[in-house]
Amino acid sequence: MTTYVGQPVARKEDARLISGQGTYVANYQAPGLLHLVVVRSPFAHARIRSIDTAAATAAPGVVAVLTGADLDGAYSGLPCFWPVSDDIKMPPHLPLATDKARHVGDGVAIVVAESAAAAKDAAELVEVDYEPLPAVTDVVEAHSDTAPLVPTSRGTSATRGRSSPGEPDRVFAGRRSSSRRRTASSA
Amino acid sequence: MRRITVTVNGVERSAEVEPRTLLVHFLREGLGLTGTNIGCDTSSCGACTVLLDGESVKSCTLLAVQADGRAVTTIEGLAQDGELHPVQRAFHEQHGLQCGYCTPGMIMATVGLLDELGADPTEEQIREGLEGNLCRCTGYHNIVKAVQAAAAEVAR
Repeated sequence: MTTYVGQPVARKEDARLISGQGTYVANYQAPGLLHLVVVRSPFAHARIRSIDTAAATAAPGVVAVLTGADLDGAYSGLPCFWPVSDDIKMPPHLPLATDKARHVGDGVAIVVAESAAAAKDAAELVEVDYEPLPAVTDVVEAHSDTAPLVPTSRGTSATRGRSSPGEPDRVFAGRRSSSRRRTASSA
Repeated sequence: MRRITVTVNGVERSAEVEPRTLLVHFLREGLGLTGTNIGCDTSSCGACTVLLDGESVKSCTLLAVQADGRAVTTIEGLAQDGELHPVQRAFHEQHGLQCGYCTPGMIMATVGLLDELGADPTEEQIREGLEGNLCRCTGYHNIVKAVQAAAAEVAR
């Protein structure tokens, strides 16, 4: 132990990283490797009226163009919130949007092609007809009764988690002073 | 398609490229030199920095055709005869990296910078000179130390 404790230890993993031999996913090459680009919503909330994939499908090098409708039933949804309480509401979160885009960047289609450039080119040919809808951009606003509802299968937009270990009511009742603050985070 | 001839790490390479091909894509996909990483696609992060005729450039900001007839050095071409370049060694010895993703660009930018600044650059000059290279792990402190350690040796 005395060899290491209190001593600077030279890193063992550097040789490849300082010589350009690091292995990152984008470096991976294999015969027949395909590339995927996601077509994403520019709107925070929008109804998807239609998606025209014909031009993208016909573009050079394209292997497949898929939308949420193509994946319908294939996935039951991804868990997207820490289930901190028994009564937490978890809206379904599918890999690709179906009826509506629910945030800027929500995936609405994918293009699979033989090269990254071909996939990017074809992604620009996917025509999505959006009907923009009112959006909620603030967590407090999302809790209000008048906020637009995002996951339409639920009664409220709020995916609310409340965790109160101990006896907060009793502790606060005996307080000497208190302050109330609102904090914001960029992420 | 355009035919270009570029001397990459001392070896002349000819290829047919689309006029829109970026230098970094030519290096990575055309020549398989994946040591040059792509971080941002917007010239912000410097992960793709290489030397063009000895001067550091962001290879996502140049077209491959602009490198026609010129010499490019990438991270793979820095070590000579199995001997690490002093800047590579200094990054290791001074713990100037963690995940290593920005490192090839950081090292190439440093090689270009030390060529300009010489043996004894100030911390301020180093920080300003590497302003175009972003590291999201180390907070730059050890990167600056690595550049200082390398500077004296490179100048010798």
